[in-house]
Amino acid sequence: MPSEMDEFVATAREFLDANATRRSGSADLPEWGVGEDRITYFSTDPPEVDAAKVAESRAWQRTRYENGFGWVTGPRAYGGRELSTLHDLVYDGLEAEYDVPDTGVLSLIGLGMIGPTILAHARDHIKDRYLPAMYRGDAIACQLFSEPSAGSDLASVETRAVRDGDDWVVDGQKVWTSVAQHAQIGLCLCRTNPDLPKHKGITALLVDMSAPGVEVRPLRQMSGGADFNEVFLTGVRVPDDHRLGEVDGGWRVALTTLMNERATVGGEGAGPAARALSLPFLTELLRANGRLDDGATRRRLAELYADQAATEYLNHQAIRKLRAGTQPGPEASVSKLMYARNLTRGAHFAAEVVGPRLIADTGEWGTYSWTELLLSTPALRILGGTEEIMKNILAERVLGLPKEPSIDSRSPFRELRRSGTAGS
Amino acid sequence: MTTTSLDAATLDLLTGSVRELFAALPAGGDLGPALDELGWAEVAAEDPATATTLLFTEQGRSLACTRALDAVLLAELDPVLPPARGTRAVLLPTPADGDEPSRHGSTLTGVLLAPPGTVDEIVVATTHLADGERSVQLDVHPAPVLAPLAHPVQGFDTAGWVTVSGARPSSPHERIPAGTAWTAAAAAAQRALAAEILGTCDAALRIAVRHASDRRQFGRPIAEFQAVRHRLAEGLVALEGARGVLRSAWEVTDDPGGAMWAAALAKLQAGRAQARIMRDVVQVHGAMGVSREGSVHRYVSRAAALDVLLGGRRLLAESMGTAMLLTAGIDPVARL
Repeated sequence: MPSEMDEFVATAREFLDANATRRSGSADLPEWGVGEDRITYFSTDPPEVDAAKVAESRAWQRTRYENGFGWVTGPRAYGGRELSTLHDLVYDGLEAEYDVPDTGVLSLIGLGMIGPTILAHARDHIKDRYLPAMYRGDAIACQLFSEPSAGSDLASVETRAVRDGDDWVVDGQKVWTSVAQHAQIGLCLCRTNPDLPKHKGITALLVDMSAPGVEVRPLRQMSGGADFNEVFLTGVRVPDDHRLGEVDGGWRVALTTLMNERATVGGEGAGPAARALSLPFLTELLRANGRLDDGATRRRLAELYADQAATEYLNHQAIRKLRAGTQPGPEASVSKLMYARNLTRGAHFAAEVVGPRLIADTGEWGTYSWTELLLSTPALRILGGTEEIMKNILAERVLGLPKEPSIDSRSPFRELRRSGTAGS
Repeated sequence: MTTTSLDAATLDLLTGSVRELFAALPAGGDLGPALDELGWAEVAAEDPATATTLLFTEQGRSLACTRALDAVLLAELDPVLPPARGTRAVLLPTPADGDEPSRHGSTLTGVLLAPPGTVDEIVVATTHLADGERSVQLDVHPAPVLAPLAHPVQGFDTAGWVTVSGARPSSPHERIPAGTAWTAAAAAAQRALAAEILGTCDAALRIAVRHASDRRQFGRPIAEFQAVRHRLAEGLVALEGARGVLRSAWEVTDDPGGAMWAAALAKLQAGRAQARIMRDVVQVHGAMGVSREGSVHRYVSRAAALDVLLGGRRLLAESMGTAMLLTAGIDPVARL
């Protein structure tokens, strides 16, 4: 095992050295008062800049794929390497040392969540058609899950799919759909039988995002960016062979996706936000604002660091468990909660230091720029399962508390809608 | 780096034995003979991280009062001290001083885990400042010399501790420079205390989970209300986070500077976790939480008392924050 891993590391290094530039050590840390005064978490670029970045992401993913690093854990038949999750993590760790395009637009949802779902539930010719395209960077996938009346209560989706010959005809509205504006395919949860209980009448369909009747409209977030969308589906025809899983068996498919989601969110430790909340940068923030001597500020700084240490250690431990061949336990949910909270507290800490300059852009370096991070943090406590849902999971699965009473799991979905229990 | 060498089955067995041991221990009883019978020294030598964390977690869970913390401190101090004339205890810094021994001067203050009469010698660490250099000296006093200065700790917890306060005795048996031994001892004691605090938290959280599942209002267990279950889930998050930091502290014990930082961080997180968890455990118990008829108050007061030993959470946060800002290159997170 060690020699095999050493060999993997050596080939990965060789590939990266040949195709990317290694970061110089200091380039990673922002210098106070120097360079672009922005602390971004979500993209706030104008569409043309965004599109150029997506093109770079696709190109880098293609390079990875062609060199055997596009889908480290995937089956060989689809261009994968059939290696462990640990190999994947090791590769990510190595790649972080190089200056390469961020491929989040492809990987967070498409490659991280939808790909494994297609692999588990699609027919062979559909896998052949989409999986290599996705991992080569050609097809970006989005998750057509949430709806205006089905957020945390995802099983209450109302988008309808009706069988017509060899096709399904889909009508409805999806919302809060990340990367839909760039996506070629979307995994859509549809109500196919309202006479069954809500979890049982759902079917999962793979929708061609360029099909007639699919309309994507951007949703602007309060942080200024527009990287999620609402998606309207009007008479969209989807061939039945694009169905994942059984008819009315879509909830099982959705669970595959969601399980991969929890594994994806919570592990990200780099980026401008993490760098802005690093100790050297925060020290300069306090120095610039004459707050180095304030006892309460020092206490909060230490507490921020203690919390970051806790989160990093739990992530660390999850990786070690993978290394030992066991699945990470509840610490995955715990660290997802803590990760979002740490960024939130960090942003609030900075906000409190810069005071009113957070609201009015005075042009002073390192003040108003915190606004974008501060306004991004609430989303972190919602995406990938709200804090409330995560806490329900911990309460039930780890603490062993009784389930929340579910009054709507057994009655036919049609009756719930009539009684107003589903949605409003 | 310490690796866990005890397998899960052995660990379960040991946990069970230690739990029984604490359950059978009479108030003020001596843990030593029972631990010897278990062959504890071997376990501790094989895997000090797991052994210490297990022992102190169970002590916290059982609310027992023992001198186990003295043993932890003495394991680091004894090597630099002359051979003991009988049994030894260590005078802990008074809570207002955090993990810093009291300054050398005419008065002496501190806390003992048990009355001076229960041991033969008492080790007193003292901070000396000379030419701007800070050093720690260890004085070994015959226990009876400190007896006149000792008073039972009056307060809301009944751990049986003793405060020492009064004129400094003039004639120690021995005075030895501590070198780095005091720093190592304090770090080891902070790790042990963090485990003990988290043991009380774990026990209190379990009690609250049981209560919330049994107690019915509005026709159902109150645990079914999110206002209740989410508080308990938050407690779990605090507990798991603090446990993680404690485990990480055990991985850097070979590096003295890193060990000191990581131990303080572990103690800080444990202190913060207990504040959060105890507040929520009391709230979940409703009126039963504030009454002495229930058991909750015992965990609340013990955890609060343990928090202030060798650096309460506020004191630690402030001193760590100060060091982070003023000492270039310190980044406790990067060490993990």
